[in-house]
Amino acid sequence: MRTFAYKPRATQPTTSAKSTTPGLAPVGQARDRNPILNLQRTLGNQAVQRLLEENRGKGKDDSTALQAQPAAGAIGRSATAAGATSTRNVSGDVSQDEVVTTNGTPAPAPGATPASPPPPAAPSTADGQCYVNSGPTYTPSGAIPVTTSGGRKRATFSMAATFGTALVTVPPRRPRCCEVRQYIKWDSAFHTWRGGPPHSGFPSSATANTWYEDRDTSDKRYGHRSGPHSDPAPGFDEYLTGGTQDQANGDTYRGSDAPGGPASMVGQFQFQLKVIDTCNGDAVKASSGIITINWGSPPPAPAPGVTPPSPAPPATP
Amino acid sequence: MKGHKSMHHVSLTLQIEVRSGRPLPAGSIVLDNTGSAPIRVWRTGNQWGDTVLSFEVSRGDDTVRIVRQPQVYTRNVPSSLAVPPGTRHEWPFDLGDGQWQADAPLEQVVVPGAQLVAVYNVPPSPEAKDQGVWTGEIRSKPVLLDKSP
Repeated sequence: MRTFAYKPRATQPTTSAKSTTPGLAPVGQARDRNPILNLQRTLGNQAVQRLLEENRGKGKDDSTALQAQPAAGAIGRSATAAGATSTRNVSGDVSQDEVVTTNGTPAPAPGATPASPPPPAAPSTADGQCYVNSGPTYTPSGAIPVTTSGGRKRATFSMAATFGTALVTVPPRRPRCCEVRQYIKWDSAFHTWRGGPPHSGFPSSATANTWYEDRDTSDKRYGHRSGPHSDPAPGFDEYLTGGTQDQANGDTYRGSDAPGGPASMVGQFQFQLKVIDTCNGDAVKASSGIITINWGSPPPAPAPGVTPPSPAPPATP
Repeated sequence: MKGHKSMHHVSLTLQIEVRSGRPLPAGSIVLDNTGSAPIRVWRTGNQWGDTVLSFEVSRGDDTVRIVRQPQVYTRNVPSSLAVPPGTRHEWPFDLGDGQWQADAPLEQVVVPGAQLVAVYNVPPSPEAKDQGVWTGEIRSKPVLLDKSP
């Protein structure tokens, strides 16, 4: 689906009187920041108008949608509003006790809206922004089936997300600004069975019923495009463009996980994906539904000390 | 064989370096790439890398296999690294850390006078093919476990 938001007033050349208004950027800044203005100056108003008309009425979510943006003086307000509404929660089931960890910022509660319009913010200085076209999603969703084989339990699922590109938005939508993160929470039954966190990649102080960014024993994590936590693997943790691995700029994320352990493992894991905007302070842009893996129930505790009935008194003759 | 002939050859050796023998051996398994081409090996911490190493303990005619216990994984991703030619890769191990198992208690199997052999076995898999990980099996020379008290 494409969309087109044409705001003709905003795209008109700023007058010198307006440019002196407090809060509005000088015309020179507007030239730098608003590509529509640049197009108008380069191609002329009629050419730009034709271009905009061609896009009118098309869908909203097309990653290449041409979007007119307010001129420089209105950028701050527009960016704030966009930020408030573009943080999507696909499932709406973000729990309230999340996240706690490095690089993890909890998503806002679903449906949370500000009581009043957000105040104007400073114009964005980011050189890009993350825009989520789809996802992140898990397949399957909900409760993940567990298989037991060779003395091991395992549950397999895949992840996906796509990101938009639009160079004429302010800031431009750049897939490289989008990164996926996976979070995990284990329950008390698992923690008790394990005697601590799942493995040595987590700090020994990690506790049950708390969200942590998922990792392996080498502290490699899902979705990191670069850096010490990055560990791309084809089909398991990678970014692509047009089906070709493109770790730095890929507009498609594809992942797979197969958590598991010994057949004796009990308790529950929960996972959730988030897409963060690394160009804008790791702001959470979208979240998946939570998936659950039930590894099994702990064996029943021995019955509390039941004292055998006292022997019957000897029968009296 | 017709077609392109590689100018490189793969040559690997495996050895055990025991640093501590009490109560159970600990040290490193060392893979030396003595060939002229880099090879890729699985990292540990996932189901692909944690199952490639095992030991065999022999005493007399009896041989017991020691394998790593099933691990708990949360991010279970096949991850590999390159071992350039002329370099080595080490996997630390400690048979006393509770992560290894055999058909009998290790204290009864790994005893002075027994011989310890490391086995590096990487089965073919789609993931190994995707990442160009070396597949096959090599074994170390036996190490005689210390008889001294």
